[in-house]
Amino acid sequence: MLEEESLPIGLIVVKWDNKIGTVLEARYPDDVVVSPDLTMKIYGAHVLGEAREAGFISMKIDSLNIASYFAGVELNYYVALLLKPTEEAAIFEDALVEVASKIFENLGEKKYIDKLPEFYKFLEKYPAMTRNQRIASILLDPIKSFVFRILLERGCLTKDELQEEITKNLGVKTFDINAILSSMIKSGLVVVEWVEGVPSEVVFLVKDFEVVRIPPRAKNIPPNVKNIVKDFFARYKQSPREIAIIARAITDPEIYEIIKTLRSHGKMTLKDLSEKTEIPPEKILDYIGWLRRNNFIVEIEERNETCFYLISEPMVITFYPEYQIKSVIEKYNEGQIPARQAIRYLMFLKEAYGGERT
Amino acid sequence: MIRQIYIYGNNRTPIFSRKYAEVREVDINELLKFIVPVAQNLSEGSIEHTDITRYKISYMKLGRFTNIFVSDRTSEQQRIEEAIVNFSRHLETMNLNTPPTLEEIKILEKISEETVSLIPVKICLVGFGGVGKTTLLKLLRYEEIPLRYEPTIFGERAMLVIPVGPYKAVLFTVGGQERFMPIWDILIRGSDVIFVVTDSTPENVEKTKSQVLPIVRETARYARIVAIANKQDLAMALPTYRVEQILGLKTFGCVAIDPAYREPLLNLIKEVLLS
Repeated sequence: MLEEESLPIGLIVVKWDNKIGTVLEARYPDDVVVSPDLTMKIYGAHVLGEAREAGFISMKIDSLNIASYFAGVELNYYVALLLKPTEEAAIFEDALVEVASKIFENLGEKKYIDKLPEFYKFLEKYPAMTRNQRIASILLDPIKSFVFRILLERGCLTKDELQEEITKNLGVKTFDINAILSSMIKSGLVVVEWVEGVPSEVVFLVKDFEVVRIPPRAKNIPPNVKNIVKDFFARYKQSPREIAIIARAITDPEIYEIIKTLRSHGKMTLKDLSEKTEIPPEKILDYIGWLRRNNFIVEIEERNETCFYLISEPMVITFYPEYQIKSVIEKYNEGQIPARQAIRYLMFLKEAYGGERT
Repeated sequence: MIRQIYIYGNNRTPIFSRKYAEVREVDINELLKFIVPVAQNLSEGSIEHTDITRYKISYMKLGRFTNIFVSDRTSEQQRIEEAIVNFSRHLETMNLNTPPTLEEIKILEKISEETVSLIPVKICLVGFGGVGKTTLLKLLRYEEIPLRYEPTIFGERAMLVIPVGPYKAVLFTVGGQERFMPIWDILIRGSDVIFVVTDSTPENVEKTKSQVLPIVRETARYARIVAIANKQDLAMALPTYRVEQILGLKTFGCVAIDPAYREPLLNLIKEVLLS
C-alpha cells in the first residue's frame, strides 16, 4: 500500500511588480482560489528579513500552511505551495526548492507553465519518498546530475567554480546554486564549508552513489522465470539510458510501489497488484507496460491466468569515495587546490569513512 | 503615468496631440521644438528618452510618424517603451491621412486613451500604525469602514473603484508597525502619488516628519507627496494648517471614518494626479 500522502491544495507562481504589487503569474490546479491579500502576505514574509535574499520559508496564513521559495529581490519571483492546516510545510523544502529553481530557469515566455502539472505531481509525492529515492532523483535533473559528475571528477571545488561550470557547460544562467546543492547536502553526499583564504564556500564530495539493476530478491521464483533472469543478466550492459531508466524506476512512486509489492509477494495478477498498490486498474496498465518494456517484470500465463514476476530490481548504492584521497593529494601537489582546502577535504573524508551499502 | 501624447509627421508637422494631465515646471512646447528634430533623426524603430525635472520624454520614429510620450519619471521605462511601441505599430497599420480626417482623429483619441490607461497609477498611503491608512483605503473604495483596529501585515493593495480621468489607480498602504518600516521602500517604490498620513496629534506629526518623510523622499524622489491630517475630530488634533506648517507639505484635513470626506478625497487625488 502507498504511504499516506500529503495533499497540497495548489502551486502558485507569483512575481512582484513595483506598480501593482504581487501578480499571480500561474497556478495549478487552475481552480485553486488565491486571494491578492494572500500573495501580498507571502511576499511580505519573504522580504521582511534584512537581507531580502533568496530562500525558503514556511508559514501559516489564515487557514493555510504555506511553503514558499523566493528568488530574491533581483528576480522578484516566488513559488509557493498551499497546504491544508494539518500538513507540515517544512517537509516540502527540498522539493519546492528544486521545482522553484526549474521554474526560475524558464521564466522567459512562461515556458514553465506546461510543466506545472508534472511539478505538482512531484511535490505531492515527495514527502513519501525515501532517502535513496531522493538520491536517485539527482540523476533525473540535468543540472544536479551535472554538478554531481563534476564533483566526482574534482572532489571539491568552490561554489563560484561550480556556478561557472554550470553556465559554461549547460548554458543555464538563472539558477540558485544553494537550491541545487540542498538535497545533496541533506542526503549526506556533500558538505559545504568556508575554508580560510578561499573566497567562496567550498563544496566537498563525501559520499558517492550508483544506481544499479540487480536480480530479483523475491522468493519462490519458478525455474522458467529464473532462466529469463539469467538470460537477461548474461546480456546486461550499463549505459547512460539505462541509468535514467533505473533512476525513474526508483523515483516514480507508483512504479517503485509495484516493484516493492512484487518483491514481497513473488507473483501477482493484475487485479492483486492494483488492489495491493491502490493504483487504479486503468492507470496501472501504463506502469506495467513501462516496467515490462524496460525488463523489470515479465508476464507469464499460468493456469489461464496472467501473472507478473520481477526479473530485475533497481537499487541505489551509496559508498565511501576512497579514490578521492589519492586524487586530492595529487591535485594539491599539482597546485590545483590550496593546502587548506586539501587538508579540510581530507578531514571530511576521514569523518565520512565507514561508508554504507544500502 | 503617461500625461501627454504627440504625433508628428514628416517635416515636423504636428498631426495629433492629447493632454490627459498637466505638465508643470516645464514649457513642453519649447521643449518639443528641440525634441522633435532629434526624434525624427532617430533610426527606424529605436526609442530614446530625455529626463527633465520629474518628467520623462520618450520618442520613437516608425514609418511616417514620430510619436512622443510625456510621462512621469515614476513610470518604469520598460512599460513606457512597451506602450510607445504598441502605439506606434498600431499607427503604422492605420494608413492615416495627413492631416487626419475627423473619423481618424476619433480613432486616434481612442487608441491614445487605451494606451494611457494601460499604465497603472500607483498611490501609496504611508504612515505609522493606527493613523487610519486602512480606513482611508476602505473609504476611497466605498467599503465598510472598520471600527476595530487590526494592524496591517506588510501592506494592502486594492484598485480605486472610480478611474481618475483615463487612469486606473492602484492604492497601497504600508504596514504601519515599526517592524515593517525596513520594508516600506518596497511598497513605496514606483508610487506616482504618496499620501503621508498622520493622526494629527503633535507627537505623531513630529514623528512623521522625522521618520516617515525621509524614507518617502529618499525612495520616491519624483512622486507627488501630499499629507493627510486624519482624525481631525479628536480633541488632541492639531489643525490642518499647523500640520501643513510642520510637515512642509500640502495637507488635507480629514476624518476617515466619516463618509462625507470620500468625495473631497477623491477630488484631491484627481487634482494631485491631473494638475
